[in-house]
Amino acid sequence: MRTRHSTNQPRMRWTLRSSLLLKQTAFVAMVTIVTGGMLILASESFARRMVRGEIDQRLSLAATDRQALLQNYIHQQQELVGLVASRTRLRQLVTDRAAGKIAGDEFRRQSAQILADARRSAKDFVSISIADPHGTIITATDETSVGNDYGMDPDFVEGRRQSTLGAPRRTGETYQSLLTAPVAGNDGQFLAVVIVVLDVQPMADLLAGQTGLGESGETLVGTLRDSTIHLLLPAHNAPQLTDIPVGRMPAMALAVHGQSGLLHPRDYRGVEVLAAYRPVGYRDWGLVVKLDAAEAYASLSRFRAIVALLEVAIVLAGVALSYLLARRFTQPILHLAHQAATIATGDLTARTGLAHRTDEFGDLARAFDKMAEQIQRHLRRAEALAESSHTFAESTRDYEGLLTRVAHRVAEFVGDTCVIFLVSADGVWLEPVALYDQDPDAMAFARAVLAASPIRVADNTMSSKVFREGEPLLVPQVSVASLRQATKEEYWPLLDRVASRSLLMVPLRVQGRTIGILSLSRHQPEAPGYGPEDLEFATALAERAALTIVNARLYQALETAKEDLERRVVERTAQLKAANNELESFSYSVAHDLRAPLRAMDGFSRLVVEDFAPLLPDEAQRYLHLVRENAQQMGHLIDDLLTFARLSRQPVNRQPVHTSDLVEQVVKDLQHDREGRAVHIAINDLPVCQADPALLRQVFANLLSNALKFTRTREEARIEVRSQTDDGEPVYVVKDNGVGFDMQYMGKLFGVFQRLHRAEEYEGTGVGLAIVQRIIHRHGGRIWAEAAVDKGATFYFTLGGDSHGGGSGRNSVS
Amino acid sequence: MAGDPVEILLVEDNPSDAELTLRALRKNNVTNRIHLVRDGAEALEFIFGKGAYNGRSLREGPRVILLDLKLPKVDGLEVLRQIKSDAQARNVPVVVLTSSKEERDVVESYRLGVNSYIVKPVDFTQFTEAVRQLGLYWTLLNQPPAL
Repeated sequence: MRTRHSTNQPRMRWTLRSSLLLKQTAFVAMVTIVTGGMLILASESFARRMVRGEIDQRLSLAATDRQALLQNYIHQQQELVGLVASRTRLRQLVTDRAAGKIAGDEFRRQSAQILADARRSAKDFVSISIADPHGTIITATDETSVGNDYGMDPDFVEGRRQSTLGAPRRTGETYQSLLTAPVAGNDGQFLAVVIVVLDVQPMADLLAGQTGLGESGETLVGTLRDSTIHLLLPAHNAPQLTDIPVGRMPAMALAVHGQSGLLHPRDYRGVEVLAAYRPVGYRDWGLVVKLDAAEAYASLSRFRAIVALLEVAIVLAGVALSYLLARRFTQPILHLAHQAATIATGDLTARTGLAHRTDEFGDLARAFDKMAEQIQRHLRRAEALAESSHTFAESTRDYEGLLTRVAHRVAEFVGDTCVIFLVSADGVWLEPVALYDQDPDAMAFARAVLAASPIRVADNTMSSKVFREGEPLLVPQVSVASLRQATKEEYWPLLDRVASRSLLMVPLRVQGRTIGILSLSRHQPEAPGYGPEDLEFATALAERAALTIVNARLYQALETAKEDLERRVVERTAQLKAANNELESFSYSVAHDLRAPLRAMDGFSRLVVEDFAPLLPDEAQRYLHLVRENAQQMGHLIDDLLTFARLSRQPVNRQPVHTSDLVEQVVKDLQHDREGRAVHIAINDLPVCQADPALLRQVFANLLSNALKFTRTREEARIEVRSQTDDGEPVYVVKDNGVGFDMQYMGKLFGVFQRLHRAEEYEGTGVGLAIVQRIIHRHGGRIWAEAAVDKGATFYFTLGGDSHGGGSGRNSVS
Repeated sequence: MAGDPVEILLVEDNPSDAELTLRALRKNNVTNRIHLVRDGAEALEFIFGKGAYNGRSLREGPRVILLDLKLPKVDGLEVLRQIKSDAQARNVPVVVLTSSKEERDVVESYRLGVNSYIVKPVDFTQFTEAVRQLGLYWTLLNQPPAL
């Protein structure tokens, strides 16, 4: 268990650390990241709004500026063409030509001069032509173009009405526009149209000129043609692109419809842009000034980087700070956990070491220390109790030693002086039987005082009261004066001497009976008074002590009784042995001495008859004969009694016996008893058995002799010896057809000297069947009989134990 | 005590038994040279020529010893033991003639080297018969060894 605890410890600490330290750090990091992120988003959207406002303003300005420039340019060109058309000389020539006053060649020569002049006055004029009202070029600076027809050209058509700048057209590398204006005759009627091919590069330059909008800044001019945006000048990023669907250029669409405003669409490239749009204010031309959003917001990305950097710094600082802070919190917790683990491994002396802190950890640490101390104290007491029980139990055989040890232990554990009082046998006195104090002086003094002042159960002392009531008494603080009041005067010197500060008395109780008290007192000045815990502890000790004391007493009594018993057993054995020896010598004497007088009686009676027969009357001779008969009968009786007595002493010597052979031998020996009689003896089924052969022989001899005796009156005696098996046990049967007996006397059948027939009918001592029964019992077997008067008798017996032999014989003897 | 050599030493403390035995022996014409001692100590003195029989030699008999077991002073088994322990006396046949049928007596007697063991029956007829056979035993069947 211990090793598992210690291996668990580091893992537990790690878990604690990860859970508290990491959690707090992660939390703080999360909070800073979220708030920082929100801050970044807020600041960015704010910055973006600011930037956009500024860009929009700049775009509006640029758009207005370009619009003005463009209008100015267009107006200028219109004026220039107007000037050409309004030249008097030219008008005259046209008028003349219309009137036919001038020849075609002359007209062309004179007009070409005027036109060349005009071309020279305007450097952007590539060529100047004059078309008749039907659109046919009638004269031009470039002779080759005469005869060309512009009748269908929209610029020409417009030019018939007023000065018009047409949409620029691509001509090789350059863009040119047709600049047209009507020429009126002298009387004001419409005669021709001036058509100037204008190099619009200046206009393109004008649009592409510095807008102050950065590199992606671009100005586009377009018009609506056939529901499609048509760019008048090529886009910077896509020079080939001229026609764009309306949907892809919403700003221009709005502009050509004469609206002004700001828009953030995607441009013809699909790039996000910021745009300002205006109508040019000429025909349906629109103007769009745009700037790539990327460029517009370029400044924002730096701002964003700075903010992100700041955010990272904040998060790092937050995490570091929170880690440090968490460490500050978890360190004491870890310390507590570590100390708790140490205590858990069984080291109860460990303390947190944080009790000095004034914060919550201090509270926790103090509570923890207190708990550990409590556990330690309880454990110490539990150990002390266990040890005491053990120590007490060991002393059970030494009563005096036990009392001393109890006093010593209790004084040691609860302190300082311990006196054990036990009630005297007569129940009058409380006798101090053991005393202990580690201060030998105090102990000697206490002993002297106790000896001088015996306590009666009936006294009014605290000890007596505690004993009588069987309730403990706790006096936490004792003033010597009050103690004196409650104590016999003889105690006063002791009280003064030891100056008891606190008293504790606990009854010694076993099974509801109080056998004495434990009296404790503290006199050391530095020791605290007894408290409820001491009372509880002392009570627990007293319980064990009382039980052990009673046990020791019982043991003592048991020992005494045992010794007494042993002594008595030895005595009785000796007596029995003596009696046995006496009996032995008695039966020995009987064997030797009892027969001698009988022999003398028999012998001398015989001698009288032999030697003095002639002198004796017949009656005297008959009497002497009776004396001899009785003497002989007594001899048989003695023989049988001796046999019977010997059976109890003699050991049974079991060995395999061929029962059939044995029975045949017995029958042969009894030959004498059946002389002159018709006797049929059948010997059937007799297995080999385990028995004492001499004793078994005696059994069969007695049973068969009885059978012969009680069949004497039968004409033909039939005796059967056989065996049968009852419940797996062989049973031997001796059956005759003799006179039998009344079963109501069955109880007397096997008794010594018990006879069921009169002596004059059937001789015998009445011991034979008693001998048979004793032999059977010595073998552990049973014997019983079945009979009826005049109907024969059957004796059954078993040989008990392991009497089975094996094999059987069938025989018949007549 | 000198005279004819004693042929039978009868060791018997019971006077009745002694008389009956003597009569039985006589009746059966066994011998008249019977010496009777009344206890074991006297028997030993007689056999070993000590005490009252000081100077007596075994050459003067007996030819056979009839020994009761239950005897005053020294009992029959002890007498038997001493006889059978002596190089010369051991050759004299000893017949235990006793009332005891106790097996231990029989076993101990044979262990000590008794020549015969006869139980005195209560029935005088049987007793006489036993003594008669005993007389025949030593006179007819038992040639005494050369001493």
